[in-house]
Amino acid sequence: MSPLLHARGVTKTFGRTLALRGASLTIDAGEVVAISGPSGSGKSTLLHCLAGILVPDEGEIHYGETRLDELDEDARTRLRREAFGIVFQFGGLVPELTAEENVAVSLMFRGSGRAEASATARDWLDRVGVGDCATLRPGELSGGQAQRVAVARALATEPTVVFADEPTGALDSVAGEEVLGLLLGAARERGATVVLVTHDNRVAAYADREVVVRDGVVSEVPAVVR
Amino acid sequence: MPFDIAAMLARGTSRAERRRRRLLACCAALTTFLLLGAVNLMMIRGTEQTDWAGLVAEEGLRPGTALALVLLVIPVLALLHQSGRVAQATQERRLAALRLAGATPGDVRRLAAVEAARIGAAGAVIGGIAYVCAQRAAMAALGVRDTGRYAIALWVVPFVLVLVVAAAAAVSLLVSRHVVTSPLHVARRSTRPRPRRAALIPLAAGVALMMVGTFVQWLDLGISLLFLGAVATLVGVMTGSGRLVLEAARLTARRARSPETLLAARALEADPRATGRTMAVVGLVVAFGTGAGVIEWDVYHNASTADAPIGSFWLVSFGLTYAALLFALLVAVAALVVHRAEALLENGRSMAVLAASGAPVASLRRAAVRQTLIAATPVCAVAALATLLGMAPELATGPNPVMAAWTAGRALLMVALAVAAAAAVTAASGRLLSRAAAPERLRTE
Repeated sequence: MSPLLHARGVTKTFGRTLALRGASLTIDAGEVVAISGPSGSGKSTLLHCLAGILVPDEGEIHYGETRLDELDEDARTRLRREAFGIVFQFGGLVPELTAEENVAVSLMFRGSGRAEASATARDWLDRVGVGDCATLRPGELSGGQAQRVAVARALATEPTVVFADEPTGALDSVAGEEVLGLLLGAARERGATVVLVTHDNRVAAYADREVVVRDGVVSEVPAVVR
Repeated sequence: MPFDIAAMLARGTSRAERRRRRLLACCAALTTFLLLGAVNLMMIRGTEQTDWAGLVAEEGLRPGTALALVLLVIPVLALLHQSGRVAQATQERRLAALRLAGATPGDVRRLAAVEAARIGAAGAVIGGIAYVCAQRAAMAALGVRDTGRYAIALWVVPFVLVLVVAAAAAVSLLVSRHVVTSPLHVARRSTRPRPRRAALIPLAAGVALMMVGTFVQWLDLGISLLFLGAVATLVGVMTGSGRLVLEAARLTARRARSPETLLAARALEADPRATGRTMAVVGLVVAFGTGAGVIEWDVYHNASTADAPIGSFWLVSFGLTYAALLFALLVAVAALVVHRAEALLENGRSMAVLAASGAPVASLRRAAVRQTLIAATPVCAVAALATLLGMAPELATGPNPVMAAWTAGRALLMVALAVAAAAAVTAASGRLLSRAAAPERLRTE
């Protein structure tokens, strides 16, 4: 099976800080991969490079046959819009939009009409258990509810790959498990690949495979250790 | 205590903070300059015959000129207010750290006021010196002989400086009313009431008074009513802009078909007061410009009827009016840019998440421009319409299609210019948005 995502020798610096130094990683289609590691190890940077949000200084990122690091910003934006869904630690919902509009707006950016986007958004909010919060704004939602809306937003576009950067980091353990269960359940149901960044071993245990980033270098965690 | 700590905080600041301080100092300097001009005019006695400097030389016209200078302070105050709000956002960590160090919310507010007063004082001194020097240079260039009659009395200057410094501190305290500083974060109170419909009452009353004023011929009552109506209309534009922005945003959000329009309308709906305040100044420019158009018509019409050239007094007056309108518009759009910066500081992360999720930054920029269009169009249109309605009886007394076309066309032109200026400035500030939506904003500490 050819890999869906492949990073080779990726290096990324921020000013004088070397975040990634020759990181390499291969992810197959339909896999759920956890990227773990201590704070500041470079795991979020790796995820952002894999998702085409950041461009590495050196190395290659492949998505299928496409060389991601060689695409310009517009092409990477189109790819993220069409093929990727992204969930962040603090939801990152637009504070002025209602929960339904937050989900719908992603679909509208993909070209859906408002009525169609709203209907799909409501459907996804129901699926993640926050259908009754559709008309509320992020400030009126609990952390868990906001994160469920963020999950609905990421999945509503039916992405091939879901990137989740510490999706449960701001939640208590019960809410965190619920959100993770929803995210992985919906993604597996659709056969989507999930790349999950976490520093929590319990969260990493949900993944098919775990890799650790330490000082900007990726190493595989043997199944027996997990 | 606040003075010592404010002095400590003044050292070691970021580039953004230094830029904000320069902006505050500039506002204080401009306010001082304009107020000194107004006070100076009111202190001149007697009339001197002049062809072109009537607004300054004629005793009966000086109060009006002084009032115009004071009115020009309004856009500067709007900019000052906006800069104060952006200060609260940029100082977030610093203020939270002070709370953590034991400062009470009152201490933090006082500190901010002391800092504003300190920067205001620096700006006011610069403005004062600039006024005295500029006046002397202007009098020398124009060959004014009796300079003592026109030069500002130096003993007045400190009073104006104190007034400006007090205003800077007051604006800071006013802005911090809606900010909650806790040891963990700084937040703006979200429970502020929405602008009410009643805020439009002065506008309606002003139009009605102007209309009645143009009919009343008894003694000076007509003129007084007309003046009162004009003042009420201007006040109405100031108080009612927030409500107009809210209504326009609600209507647009309901009908939005594109994500850009939806984002723009909802952003306005969430905080109509802040945008309304900035747009109010743009609306005032439109109202003044429309009113000036009616007077211009009178002057041109009378000159052509009498087959005489337009007097230099009027030409100079029109030129000064245009200059004042341009100045007010420039300051208002500068306040708009500061408002954009503030909004992006507060919501930049959600913009970065949208961009990361595949929303093109160009779309987000379009949303920003649409936000300005949705807010500016109704405010400017209503300001122009209110002025035209107030003048309607006068326009209707001598049915003259050319006059009606001129004034309506002039009003339309003012609306178009103001809206276009606001939209162009928002579009030009797109770099702020690109920076706010940059992937670096996604990094968590």
